[in-house]
Amino acid sequence: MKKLNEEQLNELQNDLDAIRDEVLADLGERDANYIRKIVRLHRTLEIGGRVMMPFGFIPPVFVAATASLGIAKILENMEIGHNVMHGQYDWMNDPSLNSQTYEWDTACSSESWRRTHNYEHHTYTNIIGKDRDYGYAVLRLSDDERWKPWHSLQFINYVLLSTLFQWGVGLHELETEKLTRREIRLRDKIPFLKDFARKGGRQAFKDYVFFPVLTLPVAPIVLAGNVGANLIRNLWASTVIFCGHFTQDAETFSEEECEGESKGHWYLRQLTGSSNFTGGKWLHVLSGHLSYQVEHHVFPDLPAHRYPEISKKVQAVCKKHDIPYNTGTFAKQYGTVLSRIARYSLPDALRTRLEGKRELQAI
Amino acid sequence: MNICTDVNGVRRTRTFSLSSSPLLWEIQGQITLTIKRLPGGLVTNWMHDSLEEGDVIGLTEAFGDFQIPQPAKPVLYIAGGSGITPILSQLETMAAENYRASVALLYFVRTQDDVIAREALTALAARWPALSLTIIATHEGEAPRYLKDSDLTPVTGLKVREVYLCGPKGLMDLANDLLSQRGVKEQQIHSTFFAPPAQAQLNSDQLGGEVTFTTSNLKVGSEGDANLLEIAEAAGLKPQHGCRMGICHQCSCRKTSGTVVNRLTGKVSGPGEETVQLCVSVPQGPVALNV
Ligand code: FES
Repeated sequence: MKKLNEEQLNELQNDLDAIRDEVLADLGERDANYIRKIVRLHRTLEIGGRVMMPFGFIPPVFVAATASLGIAKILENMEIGHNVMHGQYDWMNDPSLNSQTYEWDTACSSESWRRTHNYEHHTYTNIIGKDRDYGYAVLRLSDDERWKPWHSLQFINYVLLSTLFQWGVGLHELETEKLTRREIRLRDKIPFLKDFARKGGRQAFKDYVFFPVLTLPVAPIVLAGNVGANLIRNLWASTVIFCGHFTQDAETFSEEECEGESKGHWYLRQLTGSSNFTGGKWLHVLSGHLSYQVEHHVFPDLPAHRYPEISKKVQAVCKKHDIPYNTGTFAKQYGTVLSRIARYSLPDALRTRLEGKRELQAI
Repeated sequence: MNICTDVNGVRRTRTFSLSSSPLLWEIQGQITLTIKRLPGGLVTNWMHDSLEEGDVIGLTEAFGDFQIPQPAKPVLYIAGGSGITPILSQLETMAAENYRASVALLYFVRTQDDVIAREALTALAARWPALSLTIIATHEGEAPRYLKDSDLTPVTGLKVREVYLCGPKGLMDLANDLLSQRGVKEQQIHSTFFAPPAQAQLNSDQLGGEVTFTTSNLKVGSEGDANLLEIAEAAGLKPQHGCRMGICHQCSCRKTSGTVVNRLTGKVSGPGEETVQLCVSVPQGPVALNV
């Protein structure tokens, strides 16, 4: 990681705080209208999708219904749920958009999400061994972790994780890797498992039992459509999230270098550990503006639709302090994610040999 | 009753008094609130400037213990400023029912121009003989002229009257003293406060204050710039938290009343109910939390 001394870190903090204060002072009706518009759009798409689904025996209707419900879930999870739970809209004092009481449309309970994501991931971002989102304990993505034979098949793990993403996220707090290392006992996880069974059960019941049974003669079609909608959401969410921290140049950190760190150091880590991707307006909305992962990590509780507006300023701060600002097209960034998963599935000796060869070719 | 509305994207709740009689509601399905601009008041100014016909706002049920005595008893009202509004509502009701016992109103205003609903009041006094109306301007002479003992002399049978007080704190304190000197019992006196919220100061020696944790039923004092999370933990509570540096919002919870300063932004909160982050909020005066 780029090294800055205490004084430079303080300056970095002041520069970024100034951007943050400016946005905070300007929060108001525009932001409230924006999020309410998205909530309305989400509801329209969800109701539209659910109503159309029983008529899915007509193939184009099936496609439209599944897409509508899938996009509704994406909007709700990414632009509404994730962002509301970060407290981005707490200042509105609206109980339906409150970070502590919002419950989202996915298997993971909001409570568990706020612990593992808002606290652990956003505080300890990319610190190997502390940020459990780094590789989700099933992928090896840096040489800080020792290679083991089963890593060679990790691409299969990746595909499975993406396909079943909501269940992976739901079970994240089980901390299976610590269970197998016997650092914790299954008994300690009983309250979590109960919570998971309650929320996950409710989600599965809603999409895979209730709505199909409600429309009994066409139940298989509705079931298939609901599975499809969840799948669309799972694949998209996991792809966006992977592009946020696992691209080529996104850095990792060790526990030692972050011990007792200052706010400025935390800022620096957020800047260098995250990566953006570029695209059209709707690509950003559908990613919950996580396409501006750098801005999101620096200011997790500013309303996300503000990230595009402040991006230029953040880039200027990066430039001033000579900190890399990691961005690229969606295709390019995702390409580097896939190659990272593939490369680190190989033993280090083989990987470095291959990488060396590629570098030579490039020259 | 409480009015709940979004001002510049932020939901605000404020308490106002009904100034119409419940009869108006029963017959025409309407209510009247008399709302005066408070200097610097966020909600009252917004109502005067931006609220338009056809807009929708939230209302709670009416509450309070300002009720007309049944059966009829002689009554004395002492009102100050916009404290007249709940009294107006009662007077309308009593006049409509042709309330038998005598009713006296001492109404204090800064100047004669500040009288709220003058027409309604004079019309009431004209058609309803039981009402005796006295309007006193406090700031028209050289020195301020506040409520004094001789104002109570013309009120006949003071000792058996039910007394209703509504106005700024100074007036209410004064009235309470004078009334008890004249032997009016505490049970006969009913009051609602009508003071504008205190202006928040950003002075660092103003920090600290008594913190009430309502759910845990606990009250503790605090000093200096200790934040709410530290105060709660020092009191033996274990509120949920994470980063302790204002990032994760794990420590967010409801503040039901009181003012806090955000340590990161230096921003002072409003006095009402809202969500605050414990780890970066420092109390400024008494604060109540749902913890
Ligand atoms: S503990 Fe993380 S914001 Fe307060």
